[in-house]
Amino acid sequence: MTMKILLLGMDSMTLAILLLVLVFSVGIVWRVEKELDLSYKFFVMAAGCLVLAELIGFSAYPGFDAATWGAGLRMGGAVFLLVSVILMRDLLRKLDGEKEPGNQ
Amino acid sequence: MQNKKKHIRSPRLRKLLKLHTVITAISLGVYFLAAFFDPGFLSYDLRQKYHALADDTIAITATVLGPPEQPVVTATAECNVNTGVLSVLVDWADDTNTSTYDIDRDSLPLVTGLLASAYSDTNVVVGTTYEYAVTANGPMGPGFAASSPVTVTMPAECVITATAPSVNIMSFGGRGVGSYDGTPSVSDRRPVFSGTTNMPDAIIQVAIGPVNSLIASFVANANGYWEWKPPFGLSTGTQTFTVTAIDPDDATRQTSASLKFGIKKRDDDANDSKQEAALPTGSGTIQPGQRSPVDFSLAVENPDKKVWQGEPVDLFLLIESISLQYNNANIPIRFSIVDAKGDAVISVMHEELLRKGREIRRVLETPSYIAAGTYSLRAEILFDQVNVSRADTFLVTELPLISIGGGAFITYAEIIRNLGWITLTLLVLLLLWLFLFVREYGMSLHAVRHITEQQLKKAGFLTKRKGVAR
Repeated sequence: MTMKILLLGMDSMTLAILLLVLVFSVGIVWRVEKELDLSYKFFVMAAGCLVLAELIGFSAYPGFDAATWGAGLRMGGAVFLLVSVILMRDLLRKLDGEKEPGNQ
Repeated sequence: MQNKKKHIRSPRLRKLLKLHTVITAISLGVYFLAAFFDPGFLSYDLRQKYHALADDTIAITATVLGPPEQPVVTATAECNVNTGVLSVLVDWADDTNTSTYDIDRDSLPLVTGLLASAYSDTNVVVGTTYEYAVTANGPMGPGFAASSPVTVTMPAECVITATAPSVNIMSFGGRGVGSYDGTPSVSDRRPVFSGTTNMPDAIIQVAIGPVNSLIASFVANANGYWEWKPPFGLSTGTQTFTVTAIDPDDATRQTSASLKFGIKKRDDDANDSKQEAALPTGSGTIQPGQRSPVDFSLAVENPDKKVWQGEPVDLFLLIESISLQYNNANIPIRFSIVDAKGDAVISVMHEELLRKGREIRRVLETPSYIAAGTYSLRAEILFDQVNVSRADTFLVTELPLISIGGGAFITYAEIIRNLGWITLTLLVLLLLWLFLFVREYGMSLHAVRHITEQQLKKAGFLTKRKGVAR
């Protein structure tokens, strides 16, 4: 039973942390503008996907393919995270003068 | 300078306090979640924390032993008529001053370091005389005490006297067979037959004839008790119920008993007879010990013979042997799922080509409303003359909705039972989360306003205004 409680605790912690990530990311979106804003919007979507994947992970209903949905949402989260990081990277390169503003 | 110091320290302290609050809230959340899902965890934790001091008390007891007492020994020859094993039981009184015993047989050691105050010597031969002596060993002086020797002579023979197999029919239709006047008769068309046999786990074969000819096979329990309910309603009139008990270890040891019984007509038999007419039931006469036209096995193939509510049951039927008359013939088979009361929950019929060695795999859908519990999967092969049935049990478990990790589940019923607590917990968590959202929004609005004022000040628009310096 201790192992089960530990697993439940870890799953709950993961979900709680991801929910906090979601709140803080939305907070950043509200504060910033333009490209940074867009980057964090994708970050929010990535966090949202991961939160949903975690929630679906709790499902044990035999008629619902939780494993496939969970894997799909995690993949979606990874894609959004990648887009977010690329946008942030572009912004930093522009700030460093490595890339001309407006030059994609 | 002091003001500057205050400005540096205060936010740090606030941050530390906030961090402390968040960590405490998360820890408390995890703790109460664990306690919510496993109340035993809470009691265990509280016991560990607040009762640990009580466990620190250590009681030490010491006993001073005396010298061992001299054992007074008896030796008895025994013959087990069920197993044919001959033995000598050497027995003597317990002694608290003795730690171990040694036994000598015919002045030679037989066993040493014995803790019990009795020993069964099975290495004995018929018609032989043996002499036993027991020495008690203790930690205190003089250290040991030897008994006087005793002799025992083994019997001339020890043979197995097996009891004759027996089976009897104790009750019919919920009443003792002897309580009926004349031929036992009931109006229930599916009366329960029960009885006992003196062979544990015996294979029980039952047959009913001549109207609804039916052969079924099942196993008695370890006490020899058996119980059977016909899988469908029997026709009205007088019939004969025959039960045969077969020793599971020796098929030649078998015995039969018969009971003549009657099924009375009821007012609603007009409807029933229409239903019965639709059922292909046999019309031959079953003789006690009659050989079944088919021998087959039936098994539920779901892992651990366990299905969720609404999950299909995978069945496997193997025709082990079949009489030539029916080989390669299409015979109807009725598959039923029967509950603990013997009532069929679902029943489907297929016509199958039967031949020796044929493996039949089918899927039986179970309704999602089926109650959790143990059920029987029954297959009946419906021949012209007789019906032959086999059964296998399986477990229907409640539908899980939430997995809490480590193979543990919360079922739909458990959620309904604890709906109040779950709603309250989720509501508190949702409010906490929404509060964080609102707080974040407020902070962002404040930050935007702050930055704007700072920029205005930098531009020289707000230099002389009061309160801008913050």
